[in-house]
Amino acid sequence: MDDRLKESISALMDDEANELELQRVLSHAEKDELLDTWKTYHSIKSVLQHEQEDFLAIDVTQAVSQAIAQEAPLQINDDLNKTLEDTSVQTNESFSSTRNSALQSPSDNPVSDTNIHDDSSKLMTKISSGFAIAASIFVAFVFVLQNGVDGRSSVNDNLIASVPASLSVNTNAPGFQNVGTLTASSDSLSVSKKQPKIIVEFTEEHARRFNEYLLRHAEHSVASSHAGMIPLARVASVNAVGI
Amino acid sequence: MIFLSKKRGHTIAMRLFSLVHLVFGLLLLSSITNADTSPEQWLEKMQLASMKENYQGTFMFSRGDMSSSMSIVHRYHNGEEQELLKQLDGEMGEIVRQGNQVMCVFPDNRVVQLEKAKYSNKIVQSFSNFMPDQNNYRLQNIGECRLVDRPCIKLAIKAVDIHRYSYFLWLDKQTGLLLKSALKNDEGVDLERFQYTNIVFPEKISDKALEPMNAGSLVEHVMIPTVQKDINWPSEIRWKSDWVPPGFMSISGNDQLGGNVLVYSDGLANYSIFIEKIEDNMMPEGASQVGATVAYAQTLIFNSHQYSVTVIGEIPAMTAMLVAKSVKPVM
Repeated sequence: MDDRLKESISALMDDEANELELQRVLSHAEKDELLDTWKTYHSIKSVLQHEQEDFLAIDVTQAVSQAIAQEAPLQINDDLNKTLEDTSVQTNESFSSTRNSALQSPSDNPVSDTNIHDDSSKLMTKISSGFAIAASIFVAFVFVLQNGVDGRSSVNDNLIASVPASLSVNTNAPGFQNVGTLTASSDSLSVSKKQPKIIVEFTEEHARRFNEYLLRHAEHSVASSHAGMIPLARVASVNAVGI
Repeated sequence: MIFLSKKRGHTIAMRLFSLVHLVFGLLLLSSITNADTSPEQWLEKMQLASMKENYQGTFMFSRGDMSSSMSIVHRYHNGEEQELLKQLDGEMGEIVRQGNQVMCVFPDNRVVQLEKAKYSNKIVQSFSNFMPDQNNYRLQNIGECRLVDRPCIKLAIKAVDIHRYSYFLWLDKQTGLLLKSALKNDEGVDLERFQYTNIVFPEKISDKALEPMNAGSLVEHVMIPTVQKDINWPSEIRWKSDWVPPGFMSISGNDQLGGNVLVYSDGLANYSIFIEKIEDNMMPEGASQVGATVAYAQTLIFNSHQYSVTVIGEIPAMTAMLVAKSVKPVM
């Protein structure tokens, strides 16, 4: 890995990366090497700032690529354009519709060239806000299962989509709809730590539903738990944060 | 009269002597018991203490990154548990328990009454009774320690597979009450933590101490819409979960015609399965997690009919996903 790339990673870590630096990082072929460096820098930053490392394992690189592809069909230079086309193809092939009416795809809203800087800022804001949500209340992430050739399920290593309030997940995509074919094998579970994670912002309706499930679940747990008030404390603690 | 007085004095002396013996005996028994009490017996003691002791205190409850402080007043009165749980941070919400009735009083004065304990089951009421068939946790008495100025016993309940979490429990040595708990995933990360910051065990607790501050109007649960109300489905459907994590058992019964909720427990962890018809604004498909509680939502199709399955419980997300995907109607 060359120094220029390391500098770009560092800039990205400090929220000071420009569009080209961002693309340099995202388009780097050696993904594992890149992630290792990212994690190392993040660890150093965490230690320096006494932060926790709860979200170290979340891989957002492809999410960022896809978000850029969806939001900004840019024409800065040929290399950058090619990168964006590549990611755009992947996005369109993989995902085209949504399960949830509240989550709309922004792919129909191309932006002009003059908005490049703004888009980059928006993107980073969205990513940041995604982490903020995750850090504060809810982490919603999606596991993508694909039916393997042997009919067993395995976890797709690819992150499928990202960015709060602009997520588009196609449950009809080939390989996604694995209704009734799942085999609960230890193989499918052993890769659980590699599962893709997508941060999705809860709408008020989601939060209301979540709280309703919690209440219902607490009903069952109060009766069957011997841990006293903990099931009730779970309800109260969610309520305490405004849901 | 003199004879009677002497006899009474003698009787009193004998009783005192017996009482001293009894106290010494109990103390001796207690020291032997503490040393010899198995983790299973401690858990049984904990369960009894949480119901039958009078206690009052404040505790911190943390889930993931969020943490809140709450107060609790608990009384065992006329064979009934009475409890008032109060949020001390943010807007005040309260949870009131009177026997089997549990009411949540929300800050906006909504009151939701939790349904009566229809999922109560002898199997899960006592973890120790559940243990002979339970090979999915390893229990260990780690030793004695001190918490909130009280001697306590620390227990480890370690999950032996990836379908459940591990627990560390700190029990009050005298009463068995749970003073602190930590719930950890297989990587040792704390997902949920509970700890008293002060606690007292008063002999008597007044009625006033159990009165909620908020008064509100009772509102019904928002009913979870069943697929039965969908004309595409038969009016009566039984649901089943084809895959159940090892060690978990149904506590909702399998004979619930038309029921759209299934509940499972391994004696420590519970999960509930909700089967619903598809509506707008369903939960995002995937896993939503708060501390140790996960809600995994998934749309499934059976004979071209769509239905939504949501699994919620204190189990790993991947386990919830496997459960959700195995839910289907018994046709």
